[in-house]
Amino acid sequence: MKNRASAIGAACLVVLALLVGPAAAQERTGVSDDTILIGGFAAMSGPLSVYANHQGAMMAYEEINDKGGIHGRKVKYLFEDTGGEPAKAVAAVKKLVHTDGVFLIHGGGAAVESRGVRPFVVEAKIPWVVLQAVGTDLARPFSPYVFQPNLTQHTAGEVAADFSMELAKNKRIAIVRPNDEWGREVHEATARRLKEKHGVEAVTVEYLEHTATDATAQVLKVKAANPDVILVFQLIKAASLFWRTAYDHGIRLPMIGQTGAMVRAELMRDGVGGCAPLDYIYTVTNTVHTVEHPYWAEWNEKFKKKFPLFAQQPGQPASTWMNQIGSARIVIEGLQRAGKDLTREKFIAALESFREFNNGVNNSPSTFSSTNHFGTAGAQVVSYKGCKMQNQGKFYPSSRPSH
Amino acid sequence: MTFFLQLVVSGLINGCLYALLAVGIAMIFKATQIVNFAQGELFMLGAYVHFLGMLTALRLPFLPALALSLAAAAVTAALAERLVCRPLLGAPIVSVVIATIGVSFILKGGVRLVWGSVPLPFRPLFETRTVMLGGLVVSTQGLVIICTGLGLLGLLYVFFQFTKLGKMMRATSENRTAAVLMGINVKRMFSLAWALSAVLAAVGGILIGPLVQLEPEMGIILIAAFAALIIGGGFGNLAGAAVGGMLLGVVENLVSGYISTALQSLTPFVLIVVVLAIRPTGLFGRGEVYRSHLVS
Repeated sequence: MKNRASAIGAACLVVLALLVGPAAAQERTGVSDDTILIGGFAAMSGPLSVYANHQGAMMAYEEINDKGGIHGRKVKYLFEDTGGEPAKAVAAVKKLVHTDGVFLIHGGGAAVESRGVRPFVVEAKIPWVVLQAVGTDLARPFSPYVFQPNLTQHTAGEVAADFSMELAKNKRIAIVRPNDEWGREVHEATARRLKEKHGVEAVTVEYLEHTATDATAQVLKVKAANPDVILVFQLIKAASLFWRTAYDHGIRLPMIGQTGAMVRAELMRDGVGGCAPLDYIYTVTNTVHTVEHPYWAEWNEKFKKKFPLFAQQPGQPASTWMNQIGSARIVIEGLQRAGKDLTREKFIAALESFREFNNGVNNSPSTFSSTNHFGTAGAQVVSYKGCKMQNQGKFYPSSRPSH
Repeated sequence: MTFFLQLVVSGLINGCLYALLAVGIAMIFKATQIVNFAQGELFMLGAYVHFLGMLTALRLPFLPALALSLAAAAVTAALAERLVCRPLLGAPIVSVVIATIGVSFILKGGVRLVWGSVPLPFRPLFETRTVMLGGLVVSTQGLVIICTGLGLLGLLYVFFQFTKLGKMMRATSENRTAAVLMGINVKRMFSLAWALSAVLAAVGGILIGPLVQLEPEMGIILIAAFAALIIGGGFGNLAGAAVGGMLLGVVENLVSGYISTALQSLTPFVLIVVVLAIRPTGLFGRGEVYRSHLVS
């Protein structure tokens, strides 16, 4: 009888160990006594590499490692190049999770490559903090594992709408955007904000593709609509083409772009053909200081030493580099709050405890909750008057995207 | 009327670029029966080398930078022909297509390695940005594109019609065997066709540089060039390629202006369908049309 009871007890213990063990092990995958493994992915090659490098995140992790790490553990950031292709992004994340055994994913330079990763991350139950991609849909529908800390197209659209109404004497707004998901998302957010908060609809919406070599038709149609302000939701190449062509055709109206068009002033000047057109150009920004501000001087020097070849390319480091530093600091704070006995569950709970967390980079403090994983709710505006990038100072709060 | 003419003039600017690229592709095809999928990257390479020459380390004046850029494009194309395509003469067409696509990837990757992917602005060549022509706003650079494009196409016509070398190239493309029998160095004609084609592409890249920003993906304009070829009358029709290119540029703008800007990127494909439905050989094509009797 005694032997039978002991055998049953032992069997229960074995079953319990088999059930709990793997789950517990998975919760701590990527964590050792002295290391936390973080996996990253973005386009280091291909056309998206201009937006999606990871040097900022890498430098932020090095900074914390130099200070002693997180609860005695150093961060090891393993990075995979996706070439900007969704299939490669999925393969990269699978490798990071299954082969490298990372604790969490801090990756995603652009929405187009990141979308395919989401189903895998959710199924694998691994926390994913988006590196810098702005897609609102990356965190939709709600998943406890996906955090979107960046300025989304939703927020950029609302901020652009609110700022434009300060400048539009007659409330006549024109919108120019590409005819794709990226353009549709920011346009819809803007249109909704203009209608609901300001009772206004755009007087015209024109489409300009990312690869366009001529914007005459778009400029003429916008001009014919007689707007007060033009919202130019384009990446830098198409935005510069539109701004230059608009100026050539006598348009002297405020033109507001979003973060995808924000580059250093000298590049902007050369892109639009001089300083004069810059007096009319604004871009939405999610950082307190522009990349040219003295605040970043030391970081710029470190960047040049660490990435000498990359630093030689015009415009580097780009503004996107600051966003990566900001989102890395969010990950670091989450790991610190999760404590020494680190598990994925605790890390997620730690992030969800953020209330107006200021990472020193972004102008919108980060707030997450157990029901909302969009961290940003507002932004500021940069002007280029006098050929200088200058943050206008005012913060424009936006609604927090819903899931 | 001003609106219409403004669209036509700016359409001609784009159209001249399409024409330069399309004529270059047609030239190679006529000589070697190869469709060069790297033509867009030769266009891109021309712009970047010119950028290198004028604006970065070398700080060359305009003409030496231009010469450097054209030479770089011509040599690159001649090497591609000699090392990649000539060994594949007689090989299945798929192999040749893949080879030229491979060349395009190598060129794009090389440029990206050196200059990265950040769009690079190219300062305009002229202080005066625009001129007024009878109430129309025309960029100075745009005017240069139209004049240079038409001028180059005219020079090409003179070259092929009246020069010995041009006639030799025409003979090679008409009948390779006869050309060999006449003592023409056919392989040298192949290389020349590629080099000349690359020069046309590079000129296009240098001309458009100040109006758009340089990036390794600039070669995507190749799609428009192919559309121009199909519309104009096929891959071996130089005159058709030129007219097809200019027509495409103008129609794109008119569609954007009068119907919707959302349709601008669709225009080449719609135009192809419309033209081929009316004239299956293209506007200036002269081939025979075989209709299937299976579908009446």
